[in-house]
Amino acid sequence: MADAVKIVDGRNSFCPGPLMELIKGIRQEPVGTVFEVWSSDKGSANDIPEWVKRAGQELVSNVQDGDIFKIQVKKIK
Amino acid sequence: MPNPEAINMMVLSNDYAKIHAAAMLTAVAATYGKPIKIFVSMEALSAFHKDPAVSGMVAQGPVARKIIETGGAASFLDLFRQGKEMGDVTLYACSMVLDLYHWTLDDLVDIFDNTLGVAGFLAMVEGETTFTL
Repeated sequence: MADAVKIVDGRNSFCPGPLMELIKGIRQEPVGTVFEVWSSDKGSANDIPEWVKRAGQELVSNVQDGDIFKIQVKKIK
Repeated sequence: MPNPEAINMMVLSNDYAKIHAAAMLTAVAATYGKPIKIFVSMEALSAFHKDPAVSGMVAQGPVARKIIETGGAASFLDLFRQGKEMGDVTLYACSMVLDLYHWTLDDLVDIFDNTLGVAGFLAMVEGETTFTL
């Protein structure tokens, strides 16, 4: 059974705030952890996947829910 | 030996937006494990002075004012600090500007690793990617 998704609430923070919060989480949590970044900032919805690709982590999903972008990222290394 | 992964910056302008951009690049690039060396010189150094009367002289264009007013963005000092926590980030204060104003590193916010002159910076970054801001 998958562990609960860890929410990274980056709403009302601007680029690169939500990304930096995600990165802090990735550094602290074990491999296999799935994070869901909430961002009210469209820039982060575009920029976080770029970071994920470069850092060799896994982008699980990237969806818009009302005014909020929800980006799921799995720590795979 | 030049490191192809390295990013180096000369931060010279007292334009808040340019200093903020340098800090954003630093914070994110540090997470990739890139070594980053930042040489703060000329008009930019006063933005790092402990005395708000000095650091407040930094020029704020419309975007900079928006960044500050909105409050949702980290300050450039916080971003540089995050970069240092995340990776290999070294900040140098220009020794010439320190000498001109009779400042020491103690007059600046506690973010600099050392002082440096232009020859020292050139030697460090030779053959590596270097931006000027």
